[in-house]
Amino acid sequence: MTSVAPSTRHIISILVEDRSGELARIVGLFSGRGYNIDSLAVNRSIEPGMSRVVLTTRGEPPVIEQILKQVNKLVRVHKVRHLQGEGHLERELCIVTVRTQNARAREELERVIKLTGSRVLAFSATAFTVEATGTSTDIDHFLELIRPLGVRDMVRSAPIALSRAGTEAEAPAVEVGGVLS
Amino acid sequence: MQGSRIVLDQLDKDAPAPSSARRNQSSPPARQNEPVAPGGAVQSSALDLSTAPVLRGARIVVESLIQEGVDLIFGYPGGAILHVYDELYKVQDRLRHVLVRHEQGAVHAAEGYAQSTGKVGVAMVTSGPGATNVVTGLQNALMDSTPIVVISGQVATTLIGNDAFQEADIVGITRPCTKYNYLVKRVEDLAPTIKEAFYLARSGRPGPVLIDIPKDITANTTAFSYPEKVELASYKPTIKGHPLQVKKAVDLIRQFDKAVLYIGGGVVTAGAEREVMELSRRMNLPVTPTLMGLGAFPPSDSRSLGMLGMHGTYTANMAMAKADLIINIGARFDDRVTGRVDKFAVNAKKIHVDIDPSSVNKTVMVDVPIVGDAKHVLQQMLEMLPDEKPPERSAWWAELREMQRRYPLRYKDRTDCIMPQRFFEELASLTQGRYICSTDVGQHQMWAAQYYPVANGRNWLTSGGLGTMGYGLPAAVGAALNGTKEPVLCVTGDGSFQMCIQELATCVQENLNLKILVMNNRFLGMVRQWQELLYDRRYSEVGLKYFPDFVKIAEAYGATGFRAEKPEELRAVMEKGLNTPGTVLMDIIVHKETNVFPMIPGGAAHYEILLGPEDDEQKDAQPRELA
Repeated sequence: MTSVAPSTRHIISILVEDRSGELARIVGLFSGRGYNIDSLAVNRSIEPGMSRVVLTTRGEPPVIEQILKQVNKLVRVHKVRHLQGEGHLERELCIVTVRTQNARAREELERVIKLTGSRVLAFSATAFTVEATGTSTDIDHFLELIRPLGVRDMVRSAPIALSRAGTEAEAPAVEVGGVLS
Repeated sequence: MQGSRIVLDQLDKDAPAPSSARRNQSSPPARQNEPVAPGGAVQSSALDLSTAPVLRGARIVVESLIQEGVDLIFGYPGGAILHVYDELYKVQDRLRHVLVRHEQGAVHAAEGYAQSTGKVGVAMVTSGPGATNVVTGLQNALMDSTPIVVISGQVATTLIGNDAFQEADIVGITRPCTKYNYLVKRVEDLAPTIKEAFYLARSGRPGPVLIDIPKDITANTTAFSYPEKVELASYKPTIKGHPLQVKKAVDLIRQFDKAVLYIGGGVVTAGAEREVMELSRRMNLPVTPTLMGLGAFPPSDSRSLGMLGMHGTYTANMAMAKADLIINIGARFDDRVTGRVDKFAVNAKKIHVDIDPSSVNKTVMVDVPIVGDAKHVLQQMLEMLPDEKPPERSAWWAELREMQRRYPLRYKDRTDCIMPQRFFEELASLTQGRYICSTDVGQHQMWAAQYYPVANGRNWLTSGGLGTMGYGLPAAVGAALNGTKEPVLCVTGDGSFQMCIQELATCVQENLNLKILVMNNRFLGMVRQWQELLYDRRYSEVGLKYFPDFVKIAEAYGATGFRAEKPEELRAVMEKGLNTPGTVLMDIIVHKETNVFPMIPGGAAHYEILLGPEDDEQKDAQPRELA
């Protein structure tokens, strides 16, 4: 095997002050220095006035080291965390609308839903909208199963992730599993 | 004096003064708007700030600058910043504004002021085009870590986003070329923002900060008190080096024989020249400065190897290639120093002291990274060094001395025309390197770096990281206004000079003691050199077929101009020019096609050094592979 493995995905979690322009600073840093953002999730954090940014990127270890340092250098960034391996819990949300023209299609969909533990959000005579959560890999597998049924529309969120071994000593150690796991 | 009194009263009511009363004829021309009290004494514009007076935003801006210790700003007025300029008019006794002729000049002048004093330089511009014109200067300051604060006017908050007249999203435009920037949306935020901006500009790795202030914010009022402190939980520069890392560095310096001290602009910023000298002396270390580190170590010292990098000395570059230990203090392994990174100093252990963690392991992986301020870390090193006899390093020094003997900076002088190197040698001999010297960018910059014996780092103003043609003249303006009694030199080229030539007006207006030396080869010389060496002499758009008569230009601006065309008149013209008061331009016509050597071509390894045709031993001076 001579093929070069694609550089691994890294999840970076950033705690940044919720001020106008701060997200642009983070995103601009990536484009300006030639790094890529694969996915991006932003929302309020538990700390008042702070936003949590979770993004995924790819790169060799020196590149990831530079990314972490450059992000950390941003004046309003309070914490930067590199989440990898078993050290974190990760979830991504996917909503998909599937055509179900006849009973056979509906049965097939029901089977996939049962198998994957996904959930029906809405339905009509000819279509079902289904929600699934899981790791990015879980969602990839889910979509592989559901694609042959006839996907009319699909949206997936960026993954969000939380460090397992946080500063809190009581951080939960045993993963119960996502909807799809 | 009744007339003056009326002027003052009217100004305080923001009413336009009648033009006949506007000028106080008895004042010197540069300060014609000085508020004068009855009896002729300058009336102070100072406010009692202990009561937190209610002021409008524009006044808060100028009072904050004064509280910050600013006494000089460079700028250019316009619609969105008018309220602030009105307040500047009233506080002329405490805050001097120098009117430039282009906003780029204001920022470079602020940089020159900052670089030559160590204080924060300040520029003020209006919105839209005024603000977009500062972009080059901001990026220049970012790359050379120069502390400046730029205040830009913005259209009123109610108009932002409407494509209003002279509107530009300058916070968006300058986000990647500032250390930090602000759009102030409430007048209450003005004073804290200015306080924070100055703190960010000067602390840690210094850099440019921009504050964008909408016009209505400068008109709104609030109680003014200037904050005493800045609290920024997310911004805490590391000053002291980690003791274990410092210990490791000290052990390496004592252990390795073929060591070299590689010093950059960080040494100047930190004011660590004495510590560098002591380390070099106590450990008998050869020292090579980068372009930005020139002056941080005396070029006349026997341990100085001269400048490092693309046009650095043969010995400095080869010392890095042959060293077994490189001690980098406040430099950043720039590509102009490393050449091909995978061939850079492969056998050397590397110590890197830098205040910016992201500079460490960015291009070159190092063995001992130390994040901290150069002065503090060097002091820590010196404290850890045992009191012992300096190591001999005799084989290493013998090797370096032999290289210095065989490959010094050299050129063949001519009698039919002025050789550029000859011009720089004369400049060095006439000034002994004791004056502040700014340069532009190109061949003249490299020759100045090679030949001008910069006496201290704050005397050397050059655009290192960005390579901004046009930097030199306005930077010299900023330095000449820093209170120095000595003349300030601006060494420039016929190409660079024309990029900010309009600042000649500022020089004459402020009656600056500025000596401009135009190295005139009628070419964009550095680009021509690359085209000669790397593009088979295809001179694409580098010949300045038309160029103005610089002497006449100087005279048209009200400065004095001289020209030297022949070697025999060179020294006399330069002596005359340097001794003539005021702003003087010397147009030095030099040989057209001289190249700067040594040269490490872009993409080559740092030991693949091209020497000049004068070096008959050139061939065997170019080891393709190192032993």
